[in-house]
Amino acid sequence: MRARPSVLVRRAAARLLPLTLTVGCMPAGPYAEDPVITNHVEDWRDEVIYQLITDRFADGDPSNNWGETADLSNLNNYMGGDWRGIIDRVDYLTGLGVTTVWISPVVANVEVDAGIAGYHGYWTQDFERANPHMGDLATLRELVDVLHENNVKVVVDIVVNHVGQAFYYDINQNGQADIQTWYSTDGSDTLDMVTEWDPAFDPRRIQSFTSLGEAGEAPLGWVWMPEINRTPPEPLIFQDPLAYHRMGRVTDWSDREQVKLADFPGGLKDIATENPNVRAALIDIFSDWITKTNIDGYRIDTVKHVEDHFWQEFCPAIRDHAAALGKDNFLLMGEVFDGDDALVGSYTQPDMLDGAVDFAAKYQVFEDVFKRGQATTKVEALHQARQGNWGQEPQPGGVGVAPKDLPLGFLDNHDVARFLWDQEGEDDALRAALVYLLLRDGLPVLYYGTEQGFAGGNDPANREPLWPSGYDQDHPLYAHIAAILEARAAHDALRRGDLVFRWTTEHTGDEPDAGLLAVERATADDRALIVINTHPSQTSRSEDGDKALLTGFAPGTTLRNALPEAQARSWTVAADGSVQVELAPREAVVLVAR
Amino acid sequence: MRAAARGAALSLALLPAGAGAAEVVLGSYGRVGAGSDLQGGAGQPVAVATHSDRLQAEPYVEVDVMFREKTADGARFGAVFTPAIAGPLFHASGDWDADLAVRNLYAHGTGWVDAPVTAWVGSRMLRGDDLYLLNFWPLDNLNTVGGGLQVQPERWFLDAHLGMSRLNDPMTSQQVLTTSEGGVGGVNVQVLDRQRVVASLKVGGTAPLGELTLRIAGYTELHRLPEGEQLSDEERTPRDLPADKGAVLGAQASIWGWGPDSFAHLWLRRGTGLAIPGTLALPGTGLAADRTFAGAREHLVAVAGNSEGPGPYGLMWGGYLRAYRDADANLTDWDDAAEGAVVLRPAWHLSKHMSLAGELSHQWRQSPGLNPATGEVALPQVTKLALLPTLQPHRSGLSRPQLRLQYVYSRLNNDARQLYPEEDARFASNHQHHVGMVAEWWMDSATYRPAGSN
Repeated sequence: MRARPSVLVRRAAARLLPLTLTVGCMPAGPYAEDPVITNHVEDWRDEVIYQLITDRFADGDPSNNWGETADLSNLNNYMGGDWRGIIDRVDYLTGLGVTTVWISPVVANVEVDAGIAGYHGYWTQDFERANPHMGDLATLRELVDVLHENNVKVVVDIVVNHVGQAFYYDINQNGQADIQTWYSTDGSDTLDMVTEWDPAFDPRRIQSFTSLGEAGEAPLGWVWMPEINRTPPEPLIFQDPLAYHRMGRVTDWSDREQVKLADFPGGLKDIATENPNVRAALIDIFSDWITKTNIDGYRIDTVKHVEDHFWQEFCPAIRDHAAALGKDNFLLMGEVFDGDDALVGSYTQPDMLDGAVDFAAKYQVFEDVFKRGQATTKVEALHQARQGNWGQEPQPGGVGVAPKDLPLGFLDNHDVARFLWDQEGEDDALRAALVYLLLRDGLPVLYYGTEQGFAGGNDPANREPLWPSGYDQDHPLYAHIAAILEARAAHDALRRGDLVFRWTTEHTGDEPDAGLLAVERATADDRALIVINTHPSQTSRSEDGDKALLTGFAPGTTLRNALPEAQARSWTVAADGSVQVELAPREAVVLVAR
Repeated sequence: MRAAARGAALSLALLPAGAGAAEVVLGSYGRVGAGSDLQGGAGQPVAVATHSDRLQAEPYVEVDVMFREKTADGARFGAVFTPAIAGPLFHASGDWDADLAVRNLYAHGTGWVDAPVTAWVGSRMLRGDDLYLLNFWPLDNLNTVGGGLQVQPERWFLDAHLGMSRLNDPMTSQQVLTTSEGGVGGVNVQVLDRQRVVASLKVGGTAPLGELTLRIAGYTELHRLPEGEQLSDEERTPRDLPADKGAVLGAQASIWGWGPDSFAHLWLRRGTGLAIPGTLALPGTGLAADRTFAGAREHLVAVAGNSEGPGPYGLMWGGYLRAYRDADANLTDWDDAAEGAVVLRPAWHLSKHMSLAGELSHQWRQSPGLNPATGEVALPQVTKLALLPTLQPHRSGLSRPQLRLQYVYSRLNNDARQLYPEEDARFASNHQHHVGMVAEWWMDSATYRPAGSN
């Protein structure tokens, strides 16, 4: 049947209407303006952080792949991941059960230095501009918005300690960067050969040195290579020599002052964070990123390399700004890359961090006990040490949880080899460690790729692109983590409960309880007993003389495993409140009332 | 659109006139000029829209060498070779160098059947009418290597074409160095060979409208790029490149006849996918996640015209509105835009050879995204006012060669300034000036066709 002319006219009009509407104007997109600030975190202990390297997680927008490579062997190049990729993979994150994403630094970086790209984000060139490899400011806003819609929070990695290699020290004052020149670190006649890019530490500041001797502080030679975005840092204050310590590279890591004042290895120039103008600029910059994006927290890089008093001004100012915007519970957690729990805890004292990445637990618990089978008493000892070393009260204006209760445990991250690196294809230790990591107290951090069994060694081998995995949601480790996190979500005790050690042992050999670890977490209404056999090869049980595995469960309570394994088994609490548990090597159970 | 060539084309007869006559005809389009920004420099043009005024266009020349032969039975065959040169002039730069391209290299034949059918094969510009003042072909503007048929009876016409191209772009062409067969030395091997195939069809007709002539045409293009596999530079890891496609659907209405060199055009065009950037480009930004341009779309409305008279006055005009969305998923995307430009060029013909013209134009670009330099919403706009005293052979704004003096004032709003790097003079001021002298000509061009032809 032929259409009537009026129908044709209407059809034509229907096709032309969008044309006339869209041709005439194109209003600003939904993420063009600063977002409405919203709150999404009630208690950070409910959260589980998924740490990802943005460049390695997912490539959702090939248009921002400026020079990326598809070579999986070239892990020092940009590989294409971006914020759009994270948006596209929200289901992967929520399916896993994580509730917060920690993304790489978002600011523009030096593109490449010494053949290595700034894909990781720690080589700031412009503190105020988004890294175009990741997307633009609007896409970052969209990422935060989409993740919030899916009840996933966003923590952004930031660096205040240093910028990228923006200048060299013109030691011989010849106006060019020399790879080799003579230098005396103490003014004596003993000369060393140094590079002007990265000379060794000199507490006097790097000095000029010519054939006739020293000639005062070495002038800085700023790099101007716009083709690789290697130009004097922005904003303008970071082009002032007084914004830097100018003392050369760290050479003695045991010297705390040097660690704070010297350049980070790789020629990353150390910012003079005691300079009040610099300090104010950094506060403004990282306050603005909250305003501009509605993010939920910062993970702060290289905390121990910054002078202490900086944090007592920076952290309260950021908290005040977030609060003024209406943002509650803005998280400030940091990286203190050190196995010394007291040192890590020192950065959680009043007006400092809400929590810190728990390197002590990484080494003493997850490496020594879960991987190497050392005594489980180490776990309890470190836990008790933390109760004294870390901040005892919630930070004023902070997240409402005392730092001692908010350690950010992790098994591995972008700076250390993956847990499976030396496990020769066996993942039993990892599976057991994951149970403790995700169900102990604090705020656990899961490094991307763990759920796919990635086993890369040290940087950059531990920064693999995730896409070759196919984002396999049927991977046994993905399923294992999802099951643990499902139990965590279902039980208040596993998130907010007090933690009591019910069984630890010095035994690591063939004793009946060798390798056994039991902790109980309880709130007023909920209780769970986590029992793990960390022994690599022996079935162990709660038996050691007359010692009993006591619990807070009422006598007679029948317990079941909250994890999918061993569902047929049950445990009954004896009249004295104890329970008998026997576990295969590296088996773990989470016992809750049936 | 260009007026019919009135210039003295150079024709060299190779055989006696009449049946079997052959000749070589030269034609040309070109422009050249010199000027100052009144700051001591040459200055640079200001633009925020994709298609801007052509007052400060770069020097360019193409020379058509056309061989024509008419056989005894009335068939006409010929060949066209058009070298073109663009870029700075030796006398300006001191560089003995030029960018040379072959813009036409094809042969054609008509009269080989008893029907008004022309066949052609080769490499050519395949263009319709242009929006002269914005240096813009709004509907059909193909640069192609292929062949086609043109059927042109009395009142209607049909142009069909099939062409192909493989741009020198990593998405379509890649060579890798490998060991030569003899085992010594290296040899380049073509490993990525994705050829874009373009088919076009234009059908239209003319009809009298009182003393005027109306022409209506419909136009379509289909583009397809096959799938391929790209190898990374170092490890030669393969990466799949999926097939891609695009299309254009458009229409044009033209009217002329109320005066010499007087006409008006209206174009409508909808482009999708791969067809949007045209045949000489691949999408550089705004790709979908699978690295195709699927989902990108463009809508365009454009007008152009010229009117000579009444009296010693003329008016040339043009303008377009364009809305464009790329293929990526970004909702607040700086690459997406609605843009447009309008331009008016009134002329007062003081004599047959002297005119005083002015040009007023305005252009803008509105994007839903953020200017990456500022992180803010922007609406860059530029308004220009130009004064153009001209000399030309005939009393018409389209008469060529044209020699002209020109003063161009450009006003940029702040958003327009911020499209340029801080070191650029156009960033520094909202006001830009240019004074210069320009020559432009077209004579017996093989590419440009007068209004009223297809």
